[in-house]
Amino acid sequence: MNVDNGAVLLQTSEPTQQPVKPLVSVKDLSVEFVTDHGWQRVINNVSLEIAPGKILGVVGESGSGKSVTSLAMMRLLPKQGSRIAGGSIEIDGEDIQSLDDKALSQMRGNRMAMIFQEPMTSLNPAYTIGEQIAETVRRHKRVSSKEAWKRAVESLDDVGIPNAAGRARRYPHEFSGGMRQRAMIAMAISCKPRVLIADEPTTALDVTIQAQILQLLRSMCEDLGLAMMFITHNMGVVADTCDDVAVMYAGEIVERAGIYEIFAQPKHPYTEGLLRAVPKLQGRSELASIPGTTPAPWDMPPGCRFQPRCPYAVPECAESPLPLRQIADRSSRCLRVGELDLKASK
Amino acid sequence: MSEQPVLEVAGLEVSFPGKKKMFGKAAPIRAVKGVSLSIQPGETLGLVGESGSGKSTVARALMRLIEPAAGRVTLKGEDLTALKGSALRKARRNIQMVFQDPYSSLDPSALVADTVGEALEVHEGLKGKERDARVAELLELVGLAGHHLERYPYEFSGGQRQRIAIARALALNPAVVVCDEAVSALDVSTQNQIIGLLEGLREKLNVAYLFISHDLAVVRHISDRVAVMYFGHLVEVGTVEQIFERPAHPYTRALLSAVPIADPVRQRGRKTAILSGEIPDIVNPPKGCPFASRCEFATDACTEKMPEFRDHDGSSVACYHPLENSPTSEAFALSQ
Amino acid sequence: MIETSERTPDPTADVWVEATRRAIQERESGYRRNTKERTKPWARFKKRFLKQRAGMVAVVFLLLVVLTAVFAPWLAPLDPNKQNLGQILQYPSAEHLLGTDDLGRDVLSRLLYGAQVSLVAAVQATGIGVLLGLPFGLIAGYAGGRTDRAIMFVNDALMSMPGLLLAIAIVGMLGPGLTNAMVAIGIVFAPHILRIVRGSVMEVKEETYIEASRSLGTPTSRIIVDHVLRNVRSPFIVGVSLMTGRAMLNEASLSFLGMGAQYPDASWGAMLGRAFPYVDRAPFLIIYPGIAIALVVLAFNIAGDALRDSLGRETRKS
Repeated sequence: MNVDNGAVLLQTSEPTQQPVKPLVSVKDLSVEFVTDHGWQRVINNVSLEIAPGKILGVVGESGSGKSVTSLAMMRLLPKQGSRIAGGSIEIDGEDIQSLDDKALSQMRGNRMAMIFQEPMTSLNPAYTIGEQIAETVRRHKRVSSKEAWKRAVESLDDVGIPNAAGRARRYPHEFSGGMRQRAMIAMAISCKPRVLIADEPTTALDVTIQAQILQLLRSMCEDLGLAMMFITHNMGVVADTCDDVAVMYAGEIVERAGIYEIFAQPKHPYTEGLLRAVPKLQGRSELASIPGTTPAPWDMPPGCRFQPRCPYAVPECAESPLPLRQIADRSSRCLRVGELDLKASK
Repeated sequence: MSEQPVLEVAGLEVSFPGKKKMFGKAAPIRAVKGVSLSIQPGETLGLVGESGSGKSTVARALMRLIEPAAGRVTLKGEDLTALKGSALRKARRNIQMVFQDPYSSLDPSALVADTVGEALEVHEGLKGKERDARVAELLELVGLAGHHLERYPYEFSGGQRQRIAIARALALNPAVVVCDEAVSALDVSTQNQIIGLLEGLREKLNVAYLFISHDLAVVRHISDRVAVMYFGHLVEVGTVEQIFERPAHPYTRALLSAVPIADPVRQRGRKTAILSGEIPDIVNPPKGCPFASRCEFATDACTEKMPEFRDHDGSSVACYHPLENSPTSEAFALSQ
Repeated sequence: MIETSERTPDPTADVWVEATRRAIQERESGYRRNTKERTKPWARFKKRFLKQRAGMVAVVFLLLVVLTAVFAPWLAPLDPNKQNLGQILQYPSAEHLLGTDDLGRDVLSRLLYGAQVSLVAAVQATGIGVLLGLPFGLIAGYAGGRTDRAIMFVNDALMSMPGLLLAIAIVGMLGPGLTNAMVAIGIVFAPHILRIVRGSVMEVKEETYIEASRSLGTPTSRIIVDHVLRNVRSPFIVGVSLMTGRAMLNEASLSFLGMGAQYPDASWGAMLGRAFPYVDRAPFLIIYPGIAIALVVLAFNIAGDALRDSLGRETRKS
C-alpha cells in the first residue's frame, strides 16, 4: 500500500497503457466560505482527473461538497463570501484560476459548459430557444447570425428534438421538462466544448425521460470525445452512465475507483453505506441507511470525518486526519481499508 | 380479502378550469379521469406515475382539499363527497396526510407542540398540559424526544421535520394516512429511516397508507398493492409482486425498465426499452388510450377508445394488448 | 423499538440495517447538536435589530418624542394656550426660548404639547386604518374569487381618489375637528393596509402548512388567526410603522388647512397653518414645527425599514 500525503494523482488508465492527457485536472483544490463562524473550509484537497470520452461520476449526500467543487471548476462561485484557498484547476490545458474575466467568459460556454438540474432557471423566458443558442454561438465563434442560427438548429437536432427548425422558434415555457433539458444540453454543446459538467441533470425528470437523457449524454460523450463530470446522488444513474466514480463526504473525496470495481467491492464504509441505502427494485429486504448527518464545516469531528457515523469505526479512527491512500488503481480514505471486507449488497 | 375496505374511491374525476379566452368559455382540463381504488385496513396501496399523471391530484381530491368533479369517496362506510362544513371537518380525523416538502408543510412560526397538537385541540378539545402530554407521546412514537415540543421547526433537519409531520398526521389515530411523495425530498440516508418508521407505525397502529411516489423502488418496498397512473387514468392495479414481476400494461413495463439498477454489470447488460416521445398534450387529450402514441403494441383500436379495466393474470389492467408474462418472457427480463 | 416486519427474516444481521433500526427510534437522532445556535425568534429579532444603527437612532428618537409628549405638562415652561398680546411674534429670547406666535403664546410650550396631539392623532388614524384594512385584507386574500374581486373593486375605487382630497371630503361630511380628521385619514389609509395584508395573505395561503391545517379539520377562522395572521405579521408591522409616519404628515396637512386641530389646541400642523401668514415677519414660526414633523416622519420611515430587515423569515441555517 502506498501512502501519499493526501495529494494523490488519480489515474483512469493503467500506467502500462498509452497515457492519455486528461482534459480535466484538479489538484488539491480547497474552497472556503465565509459563515457565522468565520472562514470555513468546505472543500478540502480534492483532486480529480477526467480523460477525453470519459464520464466521472461524483456522488455524495447533500452537503458533501460535490456541487461546490463543480462551481469552483467553472469559477462560478460568488466573488464575495467564498474563495479558492489552494490547489490548481486545469481544464483543456488552461489554468482556470489565472484567467481574467474576458478569457474566462471565452472559456465558459465555449470549451467548457455546464448543465444544471433546473433547466428553466438557466433559460431566459423572453427569448426563443433558437435565439438563445445562436447568441451563445455568436459570443464565442466568429460566424454570421445566419450561420449561428443554423448551428443552433443543428444542435437541437443533435440532442434529438424532433422538428428542430420549428422548435427553435419556440419559447422555453412551450417546452416540456424533458425537452427543456434537451435544449439546455443543445446549448451546452452548441460550441463543441471539450468539457461538460452536469450537476444532477436528470434529478428533476421522470424516469422514462431520464433514461432518454442519460442515453443522449452517454452517446454525446463518446461521439464528441467530451470529458464529463456527472454529479448525482442516484447510484442507479451512476451505474448506468459513468466510467469512474469519486465519492465525496464532508468536502473530501473518500473513495475513487472504476465503475465496476466500486460496485463490486467498495473500499470505504461510506460508499458501502450509500450503496446499501439504495432500495432494490426486486425482492424485499429490510432497509439500510447511514444514520446521522453530515457535519457542518465548523463542526468537523477529529480524525476521519465519517468516523462518528461509521459502524466499523475503532478508536484509532478519531486520532488524526487520514490521507487518501492509493490501492492498486483506486484509492480510499479509510484507516481499516486492508482489514474490512465491504460489499455493495449482502 | 373479504374485509370491508377502509377507503373506497369510485369513478373519481377532477377538472381544472382551462385557459380563458377573451370570448367564450374555456373547456375544463380533465386532470383525473374515472379513478377507482380501494384500500383495506392496515394495507399500503402504492400509487405510482410520472409528473402530470394526476397522482397528487387524486390525493387532494379524496382528501377534499380540492373538489372532485364526479365520483364517490367512501371512508369507513361514510360518503366523504356528500359531507359539508363541520360534518366534513369531523370526518377528516379519519384520513390524514403527510406532504412532500417538510419545510413548507410546517408553520415556521408555530411551536412543534402547536403544530402536532392542533388536531387534538380542534377535535378533542385538549388544552395546555393535557395536550402537551399527548404531543410528547406522539413525538416519542415517531422517534423524537418529548421535550422537542417547545422547539420551532427551523431547529430540525429535513428528516426530523418529516417525523413531526407524521406525528401531526397520527395525532387522531386516523384509519388512512395519505403519504404524498413523503420521502422524496429527503436524502438517501434519512429516506429509508422514514420508510422504516412508517412501516413500524403501520404495524403498531394498523393504519392504512395510500403511498404516492414516483420512486418505484420505494413503492416496491413499502406497498402491498400498487396502482399505476398515466395521464390521469389508472392503467394497472395489482399486488406488488404482480406489478413488479409480471407487469401487464406496456406502460408499467416501460416504467420499470427505465429505472436504473444500482449495479453496472446488470444495468448495462439489461435490455432496456427506452420510451420515445412524451406525455400527450393535456389541453387536447387523445380520444383513445393516452399511451398509444408511445406504445409499441398500439393498434387502431387503441387510438379509438380508452380500454376498459379487465382482469389479466391476477391484476387489473386497462389495455387491449396486455403483456403475457412468464419467467422466461421478455417483459420479465426487462423488469429485472 | 419497533418489531421488525415478519417478512424480512434476517439472520445475518447487517451493520447498516442494525444501525438503521436503531436510528428509526433514536430519540435525539439528527437533532442539531449545536445548541449555542438555538435562539428564540424574539431574541433573534432583537439581535438583528440592535445591529441596525440608523434604525436604533430612529427608535430612540421616537421614544424621546413619545416621552416629551407624555411629560409635556411638566416640561413645558409656560401654558401653551396663554395669550399675551403684548408679546406677539417675538424672536427667541431667554424668556421664550423659541419665541412667541401671533397671539403671544410660547412656541416651545406649544411644540411640546403639539407632540402629544400629533402623536395621538397619528395613532388614531393608523388604528382606524388597521381596524378597517386588516379584516377585509385577510378576508379578500384568504377567500379569493368573487369575495376578493368585490372587496378589491371598492378598495381600488377608494385608492384611485387622491388621498388628501378624499380626506377633505370626509371631513366636510363629518365636520372639522381633529378626531374627525383622523377618522378621515384612517379611511384613506385602510385601502393601503388592506393591500399589504391581502398580498401577504395570498402568499401565505399557498404554503403547504395551510393545506395541512385544512386537512386536519381545523375551522377556517382558526386557520386565519393561528397560521395566516401569525405569518403575515412581519410585513404588517412594517407597513403600520410606515403608515404612522404618513398619518402624521397628513394630520399636519389637514390641520394646516384648518380642518384638523381646532383653536386653541396646539398641533404641529395647526402651528404651521397659523404661522403661514407671518412667514416674512417671523419665519422661525414655521421652521420649528416643520423640522419636528420632518424628523418624526423620517424616524418612522427609518424604523420601518429597520423592522423589515430584522423581521426576516425564520429560515434554517445549515
